[in-house]
Amino acid sequence: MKPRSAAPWGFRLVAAGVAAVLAVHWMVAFWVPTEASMGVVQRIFYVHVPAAWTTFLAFGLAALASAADLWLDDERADAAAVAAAEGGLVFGAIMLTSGPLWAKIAWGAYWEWDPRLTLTLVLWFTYVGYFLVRGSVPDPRKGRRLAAVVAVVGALNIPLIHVSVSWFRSIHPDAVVIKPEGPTLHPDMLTTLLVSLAGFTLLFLGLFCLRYSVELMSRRRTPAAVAGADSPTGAPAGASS
Amino acid sequence: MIRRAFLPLARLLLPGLRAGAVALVALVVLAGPGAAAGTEELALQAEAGRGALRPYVHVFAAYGVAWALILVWVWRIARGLKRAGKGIEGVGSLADPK
Repeated sequence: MKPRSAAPWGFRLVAAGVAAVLAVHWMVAFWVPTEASMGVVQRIFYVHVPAAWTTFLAFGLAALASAADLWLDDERADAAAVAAAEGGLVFGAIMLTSGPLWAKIAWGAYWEWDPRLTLTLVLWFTYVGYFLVRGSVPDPRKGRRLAAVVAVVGALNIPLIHVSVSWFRSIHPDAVVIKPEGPTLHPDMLTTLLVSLAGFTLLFLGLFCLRYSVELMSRRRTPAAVAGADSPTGAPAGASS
Repeated sequence: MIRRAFLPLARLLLPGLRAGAVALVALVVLAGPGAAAGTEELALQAEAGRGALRPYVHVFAAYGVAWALILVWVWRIARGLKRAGKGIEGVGSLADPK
């Protein structure tokens, strides 16, 4: 996808995502019923779960793009991986702050070293490491490939996080939507959650498109890249940074 | 001299001041325990209010942090776009020195 074609899509998706998230705010404030045992604090659910879903989507996308980059050595795949990993860090930070705020009221503590929480924190730090590896290796091309390996290996944690609640003893609640017997959630709560999931996904995809466009433009439109394009090898200088 | 000047005034005011002091002492003695109990009750109510409001604070904080982090990412993307625009201008000036 060219930067020029990705950016307009980005703006459209961001607009749709913002509209859906604003609708969720109205639903959370005025429409959705209050959960019986936890009370009003359960409303954090509508930001925490979509943020978690978006984080896994983003890191999964980063891993796929990194695998494509390792295989095809394509700069566009690397740009997509950078954009997705950055989005994963943002939505991961939302998940990792909204969760403890909910846990303080529900469990009486901001943090427990529960398997799911610990593995999620490890996942987030793995992708912090992805950016550190990119920046710390003097050869940009080598750094890019090493970071791609980190992204692919780091994503193996995602299915483990999903099953951690059932495999290990965990204080974290089990899934309430994706279950063999169907969702065990009040229909209005389920509707709010689905709208929130759609809103967060659209918002992420829109910002991802914009970030991808910026990443490609910054690599291709610099004087150094143009000078490199005129070189005998035809490889843009600094293109692999 | 000053004492002489203020003496008539003090004589005038003294009965009123005495009456005021007596009224104040009576108020403290009679209404003190009630007032203290009232203050205690108010403090308990305030504490209960704080407890009841705490989940709301956490909910607002969670949504606020979410928006703040998304806006930080938007700001970063906009900054990158601005830099890329400057890069394009730089390339334009290289391609067309006129």
